[in-house]
Amino acid sequence: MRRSPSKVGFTLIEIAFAIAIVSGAVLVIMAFFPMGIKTQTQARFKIIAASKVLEMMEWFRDGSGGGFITDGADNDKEGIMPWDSPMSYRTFAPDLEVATCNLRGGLKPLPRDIAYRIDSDGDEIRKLLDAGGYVFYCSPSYMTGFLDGPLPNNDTAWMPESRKLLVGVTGYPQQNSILYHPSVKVGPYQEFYPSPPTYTHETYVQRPNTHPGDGTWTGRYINLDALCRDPDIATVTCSVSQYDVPGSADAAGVLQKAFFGYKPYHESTGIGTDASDAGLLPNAAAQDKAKAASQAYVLAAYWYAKRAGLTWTNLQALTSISAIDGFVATNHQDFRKVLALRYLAHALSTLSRHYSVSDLTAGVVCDLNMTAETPALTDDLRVTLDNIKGLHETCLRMAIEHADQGAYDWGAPRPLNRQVMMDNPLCALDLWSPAIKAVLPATGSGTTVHRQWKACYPKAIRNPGVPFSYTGRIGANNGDTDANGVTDHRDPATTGAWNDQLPRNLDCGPAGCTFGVDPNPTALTADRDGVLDEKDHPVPAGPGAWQGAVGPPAHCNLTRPFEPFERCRQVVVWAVDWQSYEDFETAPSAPVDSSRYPIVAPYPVLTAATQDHWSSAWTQRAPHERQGDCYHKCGLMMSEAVLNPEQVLLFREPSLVQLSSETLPRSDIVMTVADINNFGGNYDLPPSPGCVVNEVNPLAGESPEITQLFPGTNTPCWPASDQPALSANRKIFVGAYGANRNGVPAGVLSGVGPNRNDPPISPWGGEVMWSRYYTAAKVDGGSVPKTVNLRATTVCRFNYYDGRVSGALRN
Amino acid sequence: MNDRRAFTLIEILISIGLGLIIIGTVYAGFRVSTQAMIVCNRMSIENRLLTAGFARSLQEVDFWSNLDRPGHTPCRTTPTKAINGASGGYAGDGSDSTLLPQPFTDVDQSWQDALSDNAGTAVYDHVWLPHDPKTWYRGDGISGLYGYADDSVWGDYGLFACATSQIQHRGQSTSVGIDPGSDLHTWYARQQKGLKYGLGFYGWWDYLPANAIVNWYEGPRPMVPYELRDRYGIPDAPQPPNGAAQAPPMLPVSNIGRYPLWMGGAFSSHNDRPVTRASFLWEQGLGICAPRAANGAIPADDANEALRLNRWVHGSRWLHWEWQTPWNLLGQKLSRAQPLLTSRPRDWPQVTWDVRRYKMFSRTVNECFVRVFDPLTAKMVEINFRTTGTTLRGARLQRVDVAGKTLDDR
Repeated sequence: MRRSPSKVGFTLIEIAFAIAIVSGAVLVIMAFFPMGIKTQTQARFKIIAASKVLEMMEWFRDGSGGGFITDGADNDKEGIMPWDSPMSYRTFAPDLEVATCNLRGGLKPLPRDIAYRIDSDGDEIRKLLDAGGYVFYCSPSYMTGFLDGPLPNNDTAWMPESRKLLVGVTGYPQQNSILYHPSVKVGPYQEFYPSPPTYTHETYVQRPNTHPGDGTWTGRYINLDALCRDPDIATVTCSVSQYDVPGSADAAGVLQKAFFGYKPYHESTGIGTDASDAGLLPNAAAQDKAKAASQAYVLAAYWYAKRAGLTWTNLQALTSISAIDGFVATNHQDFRKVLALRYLAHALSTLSRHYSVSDLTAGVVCDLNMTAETPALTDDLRVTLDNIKGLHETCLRMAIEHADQGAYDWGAPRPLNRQVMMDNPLCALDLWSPAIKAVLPATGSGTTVHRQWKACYPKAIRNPGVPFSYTGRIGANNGDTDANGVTDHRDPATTGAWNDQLPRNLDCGPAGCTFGVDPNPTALTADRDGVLDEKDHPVPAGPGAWQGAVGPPAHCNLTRPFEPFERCRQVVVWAVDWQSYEDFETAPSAPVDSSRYPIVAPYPVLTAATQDHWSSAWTQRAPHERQGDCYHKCGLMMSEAVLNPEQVLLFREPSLVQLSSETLPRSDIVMTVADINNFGGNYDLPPSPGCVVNEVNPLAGESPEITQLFPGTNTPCWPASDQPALSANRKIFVGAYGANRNGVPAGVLSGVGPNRNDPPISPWGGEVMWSRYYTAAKVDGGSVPKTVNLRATTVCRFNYYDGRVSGALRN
Repeated sequence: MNDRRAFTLIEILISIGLGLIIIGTVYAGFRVSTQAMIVCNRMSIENRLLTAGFARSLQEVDFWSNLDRPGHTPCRTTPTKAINGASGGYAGDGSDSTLLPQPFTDVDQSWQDALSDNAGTAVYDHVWLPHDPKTWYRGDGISGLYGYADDSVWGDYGLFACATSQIQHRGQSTSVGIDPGSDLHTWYARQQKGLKYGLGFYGWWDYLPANAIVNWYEGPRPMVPYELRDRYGIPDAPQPPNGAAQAPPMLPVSNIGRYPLWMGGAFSSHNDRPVTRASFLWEQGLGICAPRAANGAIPADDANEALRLNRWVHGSRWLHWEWQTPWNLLGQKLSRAQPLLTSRPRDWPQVTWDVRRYKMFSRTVNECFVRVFDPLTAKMVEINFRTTGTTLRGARLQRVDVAGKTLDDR
């Protein structure tokens, strides 16, 4: 019997369905294979992320700018109002993201415009940005890894996956230490032991020369130790008493007179008049003169030692180590004794230049009399070689014993002979005391209220003295009113601008700083108790008013214990192809902390003879002068300031296209700020009387002064083409024109000047300045429009501990 | 009657079409999946090699093994005139590499000869304790030494800090002992001198604590200060290109003792007199690098990859001296890429790792490069990063012999 055909086999449709289902299953399985690529890509991202986070940690703890241990040629540290000194600004905090935001590193802040377009898990990136943080992108490292090195010449080696990584630090930064108080004094300062009293020469426009042997005396000799520590030190530098110089008789047989002290001795040796060795003490008369001056220096230093309570009887016993040990243990607490030994040991060493071993073994008698001093000195000192060696050692040990008591006695400087971290006081912002505030400008119709936290130390500061920046004797004109060659408290006060200003005697009590140099600032009074604390008001609050600068030690919590979770934060790494955006190179830089711009603390300008308080006229010099001061007085160059982290990559004026030939500009090639040392202040002034033009095109953005103006006008030197009132240099500094963010250079240009290969001439001395090199770059852009949001995937997370103090792990 | 059933043409065509579509899809999927597998495997190999290179770099940072020369005798045990002679400095083309000590030179093979002055030999002491008085600097730190050392009006500081145990005072015909029985006035100088001769320039600088003062005196007469400038032939300024005239220097940069003492100096040591190793390194760059002959080849006497220390970059802070070529030169000299795998399948990527050590801007930098070259695509990629690592002192202390002594104990 035949079966019905409907019960035999599968229909075509059934087979088709079955095959389709099997095929679908197979295809789904096969679709998982490319997932492996994604996995491997993620693995690669993790490898790169690990290397970048290692690098972040290295920047954090290596002591470079960012971690901020060695801050180079000092931008001015001592301000009057705390906002004048950058120390309390965010850019100096020892936080990881601040250290990462580093000109020299391989991570740069992502432009905020781009960062806000990137979506992430839990909107983490947006929350980070809203809290004021940065997201960082990976930038190709400099070829040499140095600050000022050129960009990579060959970018093809740089791993493309690195370009897609973004890094952020989540969790809130904690309160940290600051390196020094922003409105009193850096600290105890540092000096070598032994050494003469600290002094400086100051000239208005150039670095001063000083001993030994580098040029001649120029400018005013300002006795810093005398003005800022103890006025008696003035005698060590240059006495009032005089002596007869042997072998100096004139035709009438009258001997010349000379002062006692360090400076006269220095001048007697001929240093500064002839840089060659042959010029020093070329004949017997010169040698006798210097020999006598050496004795006079010893006596001047001994005069101060006696004032400090030391006698030759107990000093000359210090020829053995055991005696030195015993002496030091009880005497280091008086900073005057420490200073006295410092000067005396230095003076005694000079005797070894002029006397033979046999002379010193027998003993050299220093018997000149200092009769004009108060009190007079008529002691005779018999100095032996053992005294010289013994007191040299005593000087060093006393200084180190004094330093070992902690960094909170600022009477004597810390010894450079042995530098340790304990030389620096702990300091933190006091978040629990009322802030320092002032209305600026203080006179007239000022309405802007400026505020900044006070700072505090774990212990009250003993013997704070006067900061070297504000001795009360700084100015453009002569402060040496008694014309003895030294500016110190003995110079009668004068009035008028720049001739005399308030010294910042920090231990001043509630009444604030008093006008005129105090002839006896070390004498204790009801207000001056020898300690800088909350009762002292050394900061101006307004016309005739003063306010405190220091919070109570109880508010300094740096040494208190804490739980690890209180200071742990997290580094997060994401991956997204942000360089596919059309504006990834033209978007302006992320906001730059304004404290990255180098500027000096203000020099006070006394505008009225009767003015007895700090005011805006005192505290606010013209910004371009302050930037110029930064260079000329402190030697700080733009290249050494912390700057915009994208500095080297920044595009200059985009219309200035440069490559290969100036006659054939290319619209896609723009000069970058690669040679960052070309920012240097007055070398690049615009055409004006007395200034030199170094650039073919002055809009190259070499001198980002804040608001550099043509002298005598309100016209910016470098106006931006689209905003003439705004300096183009300033726009470049903040990254307004974007940056070469994929790091691909288009070439290296050389030379400056009208003819690109001609070196410019310095306006200061006519010397030839050598050609500098610039990198040009192509302005790249992706295909993704700005209106599109990209999605970032989280690559990995690292927990870390946020340190509280600046410190180099390996220096 | 014969009731045959068969497929119609349409049915066959449809089935064939469907089959082809399915086959094509499967083939495409199979092709994609195999390519994905290949790429995935390739990436996996590269990632593993990158990870291995990364780890190898980190290991090198801590163990300094690529500076080691196992089985090779130290290059030098006694300072030679070429180093300490009138010309000063190291030869520019590496020809003096055989005369230089290496970072892992046994101390007992180089130290004592360098310090012997017929008054007994010095003992190497790698322990610098800040509370120990002999570790405090006793030279003349306040005034310049350059040009005045032997006739300094500030006194005979050889009394307080000297590498020799006797000095001869000015105008005297005989020497006198400095401080018999005490290390106070000789230890500091001898340690520095011994480190320099025993470990080479870079090794010396790596050993020094950051606060070490780089300066000492040598007697008996003339009382010569150890002046880095003279010893290493560092000019006042880099030579300008194209044979242009040498510009007169502005204020001297970073020469020991020549900085003026001025207000800024009161705040930081390096600004007025470059003294500590850390502050000196703010100005200069140092690196360990491989020697190269003038034609770029490695000299024959360096067949075992001897190293030449001391590539010194004179970098200036003054803008018009900063013409960057020295940095390029240093970077090139520092490169010593090593292959990760001594043998590998031909189609595998070639991986090299490179650790460049230098000191710059008061930082100790270990810059690591891991490069992957794919022979199939002829593309090279690299990761580059910097990290903190062990000091040379630590690396040396890790080299323990069968008697349990380290390089620094022998």
